[in-house]
Amino acid sequence: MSLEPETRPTRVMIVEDHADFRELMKVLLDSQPDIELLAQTGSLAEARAQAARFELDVAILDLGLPDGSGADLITDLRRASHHVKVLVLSASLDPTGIEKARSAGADVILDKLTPIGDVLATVRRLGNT
Amino acid sequence: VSMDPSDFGGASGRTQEVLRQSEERFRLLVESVKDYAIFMLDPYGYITTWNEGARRIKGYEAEEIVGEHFSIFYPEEDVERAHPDEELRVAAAEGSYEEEGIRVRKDGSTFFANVLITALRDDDGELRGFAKVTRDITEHKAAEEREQLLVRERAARERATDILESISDAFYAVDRRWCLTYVNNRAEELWGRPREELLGKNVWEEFPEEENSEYYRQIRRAMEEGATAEFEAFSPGLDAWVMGRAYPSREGLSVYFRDVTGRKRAEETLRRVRETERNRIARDLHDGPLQDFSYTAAALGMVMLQAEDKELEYRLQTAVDAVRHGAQGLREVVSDLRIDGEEGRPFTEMIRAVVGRNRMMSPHAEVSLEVGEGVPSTPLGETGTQVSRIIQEALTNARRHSGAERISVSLRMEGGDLLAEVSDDGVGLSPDASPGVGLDSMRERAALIDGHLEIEGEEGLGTDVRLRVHLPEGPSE
Repeated sequence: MSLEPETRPTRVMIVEDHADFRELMKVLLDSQPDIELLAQTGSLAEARAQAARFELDVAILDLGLPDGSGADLITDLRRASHHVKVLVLSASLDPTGIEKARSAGADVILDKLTPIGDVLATVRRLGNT
Repeated sequence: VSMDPSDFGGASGRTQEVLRQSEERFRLLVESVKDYAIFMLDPYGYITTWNEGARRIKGYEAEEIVGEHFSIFYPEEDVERAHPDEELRVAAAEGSYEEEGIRVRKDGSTFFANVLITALRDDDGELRGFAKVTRDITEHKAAEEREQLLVRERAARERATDILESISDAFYAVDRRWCLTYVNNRAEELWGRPREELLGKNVWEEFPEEENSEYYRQIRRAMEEGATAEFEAFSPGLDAWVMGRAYPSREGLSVYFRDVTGRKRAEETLRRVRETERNRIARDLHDGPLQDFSYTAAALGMVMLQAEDKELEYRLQTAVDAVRHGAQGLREVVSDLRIDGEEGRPFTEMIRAVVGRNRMMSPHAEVSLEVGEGVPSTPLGETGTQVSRIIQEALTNARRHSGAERISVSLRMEGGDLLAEVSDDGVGLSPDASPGVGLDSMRERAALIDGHLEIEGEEGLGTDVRLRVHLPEGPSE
């Protein structure tokens, strides 16, 4: 319930263990004036800590993290903030992982191969709802 | 030899009468003998007398046979080689001739005869004819043959017993009521029970632990269907894997088996090693190259966003498409390889996941799943994993090689058996297609869970993979 939704940037955290991919997302998001990348991490534990520190609008999660599944993080994020939106980027086809993420409350699940412009558009859309 | 009584004087009339009476009695005696054909031949072999025994044995009346040549009693081939004449020649030369051989009755039937021909000579040594005594020894002969057969059979039986005792397989035989009629050394050893304790007892009553095991069902089936059954199954009674064959016999069933637990364990270990390795490869591909591909596609995509040159954008798009295509392929491989921690998953959920995954990978085919009533949704442990793997293999084959438009998976229950079927409307199996690792692997997996696998795929008519596996009663581990 922001007073000036148009002017306040969308606050984003990215959780992705592939360093190059994370860096790419950082460059992409940093170049967007309406998006503010607050946190970026490659592990579940670090993500939990960051989520507690910031008021987030959108979390971009990878499912396969070295210390567990990104799906488990969704529950924690929801607990920390009611309005945070979760965008899952999945490289795998395993419906079980996807199902798990969906039932944990992921708002959108995208294939990691989705064109980067579409990913950006989704982040923006989630930030504005 | 006929004599005119008047040749003798009146005084000798009495002697003559006695002699006549004696001859008459002898003639009556010979005529009435029933068990021997006794008759006379003239020097050339023509029949001159006949008796009751001859009538009975050969079937001719006296009036129709007297005057005929005795070769009429011989089979054609004996007549052709002049055997009857040869008999007479020997009898004439040596006094008598004896043999056992086939003779022919009036009605054409044959019998086995003992024949004795004696030459009759007068006081001057002149050959006057022959006496022939024939006995029907068919019965005797048959009895003799039977006796011989029995002796031979007994010897064969003893030899068979020796063989059965010397083989390294365990062997037992049961009658139609499942009572043990034979138990060899090795079976005694495996069962740890002496045959004295087992013979005559119902095998299933003696080994009640076997009831309803796969081993039990295979052997029951051999008896019920009267067909040889090959089995490789776990025997709860022996607490061991056994492999063998059950042969229906006239008496009941003969069963050979051996303990293959060692081999089974080695296979199991090998399988686990392989599964672990597959999972590791899947994980490595997923976490490494697949992520790199995803990154590369995204990175190229980002450069594209910034590109202002249409030509450059087009070239980048081509590269992105190639990378995506590579990633898709890799993803399918990963998906086919992976079965992380599935043993504890609810069975139907596991199958849904497999079908779901394959549906995503087959954009050109419709993949359907039908789950019948009574199919357990509880975890099925090892059975569940293997069924899911077999379905996975079948779907991979259908996806990659069949060109099918429709692939359907169905699960249903029949009695205590789970039936899983994957069928497609693709090209089928061409007759010269190599059996393929996929098919072998499916068969191997089916064997692991005592399942029965059938693969049907007539060229051009689609492929049908059917698995039948018995599910243990009640919830599984």
